[in-house]
Amino acid sequence: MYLGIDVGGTHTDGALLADDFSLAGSVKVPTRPGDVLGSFLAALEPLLAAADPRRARRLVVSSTLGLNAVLTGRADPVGVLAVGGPGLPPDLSGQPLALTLAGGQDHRGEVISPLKGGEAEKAAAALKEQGAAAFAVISKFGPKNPGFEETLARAVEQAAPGSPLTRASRLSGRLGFPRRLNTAVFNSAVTRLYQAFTRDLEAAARRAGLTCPVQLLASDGGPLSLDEAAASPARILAAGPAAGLLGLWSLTGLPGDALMLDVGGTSSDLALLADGRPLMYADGLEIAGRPTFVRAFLTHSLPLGGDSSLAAANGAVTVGPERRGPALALAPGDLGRRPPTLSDALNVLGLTELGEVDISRRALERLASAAPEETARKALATALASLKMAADFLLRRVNQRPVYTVDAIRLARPLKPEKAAILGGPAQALAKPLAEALGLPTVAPEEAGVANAIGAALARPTLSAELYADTALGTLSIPTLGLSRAIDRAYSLRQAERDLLEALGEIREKTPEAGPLHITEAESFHQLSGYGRSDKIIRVRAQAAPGLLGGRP
Amino acid sequence: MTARKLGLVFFPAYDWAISPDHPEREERLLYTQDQLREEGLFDLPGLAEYRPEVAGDDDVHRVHVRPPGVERLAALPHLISAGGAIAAGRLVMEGDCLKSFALVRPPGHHAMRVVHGGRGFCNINNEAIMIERLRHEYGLGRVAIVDTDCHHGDGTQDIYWHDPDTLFISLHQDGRTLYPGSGFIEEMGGPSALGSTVNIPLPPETGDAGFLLAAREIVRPILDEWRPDLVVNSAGQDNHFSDPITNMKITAHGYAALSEIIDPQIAVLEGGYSIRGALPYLNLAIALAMAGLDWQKVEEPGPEPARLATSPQSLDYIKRLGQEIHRRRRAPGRPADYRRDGRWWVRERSIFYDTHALEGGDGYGGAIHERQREELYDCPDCPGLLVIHTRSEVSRPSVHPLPPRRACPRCLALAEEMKRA
Repeated sequence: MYLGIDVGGTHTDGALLADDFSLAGSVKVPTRPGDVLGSFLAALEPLLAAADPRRARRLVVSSTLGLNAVLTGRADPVGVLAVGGPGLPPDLSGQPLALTLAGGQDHRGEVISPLKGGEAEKAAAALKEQGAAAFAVISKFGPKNPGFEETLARAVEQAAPGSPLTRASRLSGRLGFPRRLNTAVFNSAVTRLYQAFTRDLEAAARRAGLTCPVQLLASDGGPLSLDEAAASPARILAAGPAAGLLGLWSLTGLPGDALMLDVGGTSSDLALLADGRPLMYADGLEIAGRPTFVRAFLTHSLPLGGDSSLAAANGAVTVGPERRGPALALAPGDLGRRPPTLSDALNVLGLTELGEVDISRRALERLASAAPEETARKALATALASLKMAADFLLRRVNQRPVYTVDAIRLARPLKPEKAAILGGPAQALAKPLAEALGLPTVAPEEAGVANAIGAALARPTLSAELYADTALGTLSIPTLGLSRAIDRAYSLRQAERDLLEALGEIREKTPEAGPLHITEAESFHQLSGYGRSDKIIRVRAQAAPGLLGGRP
Repeated sequence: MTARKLGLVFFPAYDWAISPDHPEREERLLYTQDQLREEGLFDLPGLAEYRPEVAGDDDVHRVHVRPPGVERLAALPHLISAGGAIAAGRLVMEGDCLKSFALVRPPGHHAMRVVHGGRGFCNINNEAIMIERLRHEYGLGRVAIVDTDCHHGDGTQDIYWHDPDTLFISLHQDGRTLYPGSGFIEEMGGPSALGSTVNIPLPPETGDAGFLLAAREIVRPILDEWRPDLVVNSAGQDNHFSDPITNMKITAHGYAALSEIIDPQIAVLEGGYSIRGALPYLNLAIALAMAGLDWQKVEEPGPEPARLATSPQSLDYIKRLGQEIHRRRRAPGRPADYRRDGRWWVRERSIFYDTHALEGGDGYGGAIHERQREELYDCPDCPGLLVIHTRSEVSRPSVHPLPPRRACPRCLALAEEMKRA
């Protein structure tokens, strides 16, 4: 059997799947504010009440523990050591503890000026002195040549042994200094938090009698072992939407292009399936307003949910963005003290029967002079129009994504959803009106209440890495796997693809549940000037994409 | 929604080259993309990256004449490059962005009105196709094109030679020392558009000081006086000190400062073949300048500044050149190269094409020689009907009546009559 637990903002869901991946048990409890571990246990215990914990094959947990720590300033202060290069100097303005050292390398990873001996050690000690509890080291074009980062890392290990330390290009092997910097800083900031959390989680699982691997869901929909999670917590710190989207994906099994909506209490997340597979961000997630290279499902959020407050003005009814509590039908005492919610409007329209429906009616009567049904209809129309606008915006953004080859333009087809799937509290009630608003058949799966936990339980591990080779310089680098070596001038694109698949394959052997490895980008460019015809620049990316156990959908 | 400061249409055509070892090959914008990505340029507030459109045959034929025997003027890569310029133009016209920069290849500014083949790596004229599309779709009026490629923009000059509504200014290395060997100050536009073409041939070895002197004292006053509705920069980048096929000494800072002086709404990449040493830094600096961000921090590898200085002789030469250009604009006189034949102005010339239209091969073979006779009707009511007689090794003689954009009824009727005949 397979277990999944999602510790969300308001609810903690648990799902128990049989060996054939059918749903055999589920639980939904309120989340204990500020207590992820307690909430986890509150869901785990009833889930295991009628099952033999030793038969569990895997437990996957998803939570927003790290994001909350970052947002509430409970993360560690991170000291940053950076080396620049031609172009713009490193922008460390967002980092209170940061130093740029003299030295630099260019866009091919060629060292233009070396580091001065002893400078890195001095800088690391100074940052520690100023209060850095964790460290990140980064150089411009580090993925092409991690040499500088290695030197900086050794200096940090000497000055502050045992402190969390992230080598930026080991965590993300893509070009984009600001994104690599943010990713590395977030990673170091929550490393100690996750070291403690994974330890506690492991202990709690063992106490509950579980003998199986315990994993944490990452924001790209792939679970990580607790060791991996503690080493690269940036990948899991904002896993919020991933579990829900995986769950919805597994429950609906939509083929082709589809729109997925997760309508919560305060906000809604929209995501897309292209050819039956979730679409990812081209670069990565934005965390606390900062762009990163954290791989994640492409989502668009809008501040609209069942708890969004209604307001009436000039005959129009607005929905959100503020939220001042649950539906008045669930809190009759608040009638007259705060406005009704979208859920109250759904009650009035007879789409739901939540709590005391009559309170919803009275609240809408007080809101506007029109009949409550009329006000409710207007509120629903406003909400649907917002969702439709958000869906159109997301689609436009995806269909305008830049492409870089003639073939990509020739073969590109625009993404065009044929169906929609909806998840969340008011999902059942919204399915039909939403279908009309979007002009798409819309499904709301029965088990949607615990979709997040089902998604976590079924998630397949993901893998990805990129390789850079330059036969003129004789260099090869697979930054995130920490591999770099010399190559000769005959090194070819075919060899590069083989080397990358082999390197990732070694990791895949340790994570047998991961899906098949694919080359996703492979480019080879002739270099001319000064080096002669035979030299090449090679770039390859490979991945095991997000997927679901049991071949579902 | 407020407009973004700068929209970038980046299309490196990673799967297309004129031929494997041609300067116009897959690798050309690779290092630029690596640099721009590493700097996080596309994540800066107010900047965004957009996808190119694909220009249609209509767009191409709005600008170019296809003589019989030439099957197609453009393949998909050319249409995407022109479509990238159109996408950039649309971002500005629609108000999505205040400015835009089409970083596209292949280039287009050597492509003239009539196209028998390729000239200087160019098949179709990206800027002209964009401008005419914007005029067609948005009713755009007066447009100024400032061509800052090191080579004279002879194609764009030819297309707008007779158009008094399009100001074409080209800053380039003196044509006596560089391809295509034209762009002298005497070239000022056709008989009904005299003064709407301005050529500024700079001496070889000109550095930032000379380049910016020309921009400030020649280009800027003419733009201020002419008052265009839109300024387009043909942003060639081969004036850079490291360019392998030219002899100038301009830096990334020089190009950024130039961009500030010209202040174009739309820039379109043209030439520039120092793909490692120049393009990554030039494109970064130009994009920052266009977005109104600090470009002074951009550092590029290179020799010490003293070696990139403009000589006092050159500065003096450019000053006098400016005075001469302004003097000629005030008193243009009679158009050079033309003779009168009744009510018609007539010019005859030969045009050299270095490649066949869409040929692969080594990219340099198969030259074409066009013989062309231009007849412009001296019309009191409009810029006048243009009739082009053309022939070459690849095309039998043909006649093309081309009424101007705002033709009078008589010129339109005359053109119709000639088409029937």
